[in-house]
Amino acid sequence: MTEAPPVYLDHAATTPVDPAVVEVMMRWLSGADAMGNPSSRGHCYGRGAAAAVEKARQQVAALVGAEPEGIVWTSGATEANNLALLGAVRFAMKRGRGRHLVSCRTEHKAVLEACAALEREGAEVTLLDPAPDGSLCPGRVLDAVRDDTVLVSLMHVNNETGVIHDIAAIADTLRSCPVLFHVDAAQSAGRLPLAVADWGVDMVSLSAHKLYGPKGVGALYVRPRPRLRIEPLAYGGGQERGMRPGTLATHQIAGMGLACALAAERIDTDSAHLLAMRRRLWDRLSEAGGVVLHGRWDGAPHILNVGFQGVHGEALETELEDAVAISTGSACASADATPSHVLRAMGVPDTLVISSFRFSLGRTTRAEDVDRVARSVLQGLRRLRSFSAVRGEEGGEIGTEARQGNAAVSAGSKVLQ
Amino acid sequence: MNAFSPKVLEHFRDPRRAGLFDGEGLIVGNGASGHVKSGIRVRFRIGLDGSGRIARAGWECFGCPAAIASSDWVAEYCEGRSPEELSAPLPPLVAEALDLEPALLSRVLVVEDALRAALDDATSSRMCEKR
Ligand SMILES: Cc1ncc(COP(=O)(O)O)c(C=O)c1O
Repeated sequence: MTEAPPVYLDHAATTPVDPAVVEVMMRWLSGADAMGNPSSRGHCYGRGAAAAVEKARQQVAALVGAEPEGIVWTSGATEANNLALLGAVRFAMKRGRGRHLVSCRTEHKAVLEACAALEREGAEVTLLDPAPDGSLCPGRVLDAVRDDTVLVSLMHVNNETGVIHDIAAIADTLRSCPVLFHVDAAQSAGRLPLAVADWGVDMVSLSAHKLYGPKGVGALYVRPRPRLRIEPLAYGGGQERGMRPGTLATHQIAGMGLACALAAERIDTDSAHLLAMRRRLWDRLSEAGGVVLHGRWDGAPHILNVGFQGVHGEALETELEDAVAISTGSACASADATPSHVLRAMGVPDTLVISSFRFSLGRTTRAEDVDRVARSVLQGLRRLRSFSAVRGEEGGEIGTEARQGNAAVSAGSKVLQ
Repeated sequence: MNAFSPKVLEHFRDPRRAGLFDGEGLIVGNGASGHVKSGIRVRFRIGLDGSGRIARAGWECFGCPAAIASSDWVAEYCEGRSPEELSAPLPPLVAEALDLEPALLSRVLVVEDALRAALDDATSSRMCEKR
């Protein structure tokens, strides 16, 4: 008997491309009139491509409640985050208008690493600690703002835990200060309603491949009125108001546009479905006992991050290999892996961080997929816990402790007994 | 990402010496090493027979598949040998037997520490018994 392929529950990492999106992309790759450069306004080929790009701009903007002229195409949310942070802070620093930015320890690496790069250029960064449930109180954000603060950068939905930052409330709190507010909405767009212009957010990062569009394309919304100026990361032919020069990738952009339009159409049905599936998954998994939820119940509907006490994440991952594709907070086989900085920032003990998994559900996840995954997890937990050295650890140790554990592995660990 | 060798996976999926056996009739030694916090915690139990050979070995492990497979292989390897026959460093043997990547050898050191602690424990019990 051949097993069904593993259930894909890693939609926060990336989503499958919607067939209709593939179709529109193919049309702008292979159509008889598809070869034009959107900047070549002098002939019909260029104008056709430009029209496709402008349509996509409308579609993306409509999904997040933003003005279409604010959309700047990028290669994804990583580039959008870099453009927002480096662009805004460098612009201000060059003109002596401040050099401080505020962000949070649970942000995506694309923000944290951009902060670190700015620090090397002389900027100062305040990284806020989240509450243990991953949330951030708007008042704490305001408290961190100084006279020389240029920018506050916070994500809408956390990619590991699904925890939602109340962007409307934070934007409201910041309204009284002359600081820019950037939001990484890569995980929330298409899953939660966004009202970028109404909220008064200045910049927003988006990524197509998180919402059933293609990889390698995204956008940064840059408030067009009053016009917000940032330093570009690259220099060239002046496309995208000079903020992101380079020939536009018509097929990628058209694909992102349609993906956003479909997401806008389906947002209510999608999120109701995701919530039901997440609830079902949690109910089934928690039967195992020793299962801890990281984050909050009112988080984004597609993410469930849980810790399984007594098992190593990588052991369970290997155990589940044939049943489900998910993300783990640990990976010792890959040399460069470090335990999740997000869970650590929330104060989750390292012992539980390495036993944690992110299940992320999608549009096509079915109840029977959830049930199959849960069955495999319960089975795997039972087996691994049956010989785990962690049960009853608190109850005292048996036998003698090795006098010198291997320093590289057990450095900093407390010897029990 | 799971670059574990087929031999690691074999011991991980079907361990032969998992669990701490009941040491009735044997001189039992227990040892432990590592810490959950650092991603590996191993307990070892060995049972010496009257001739001083290891009649049984068992383990409990919290760790990645390589840690679990190493525990199991070491337990199997021990059986039938005397503590003296185990005095050579184990990591090269385990690495060879399980096709372990060098990056994973630190796991074997923890397993070895737990085994050596169990051997010490058993040997001192044996001395007491003789006296
Ligand atoms: C919150 C968040 N920001 C940024 C990114 C990076 O997006 P991209 O893959 O489009 O560069 C991701 C996805 O990995 C994400 O989840």
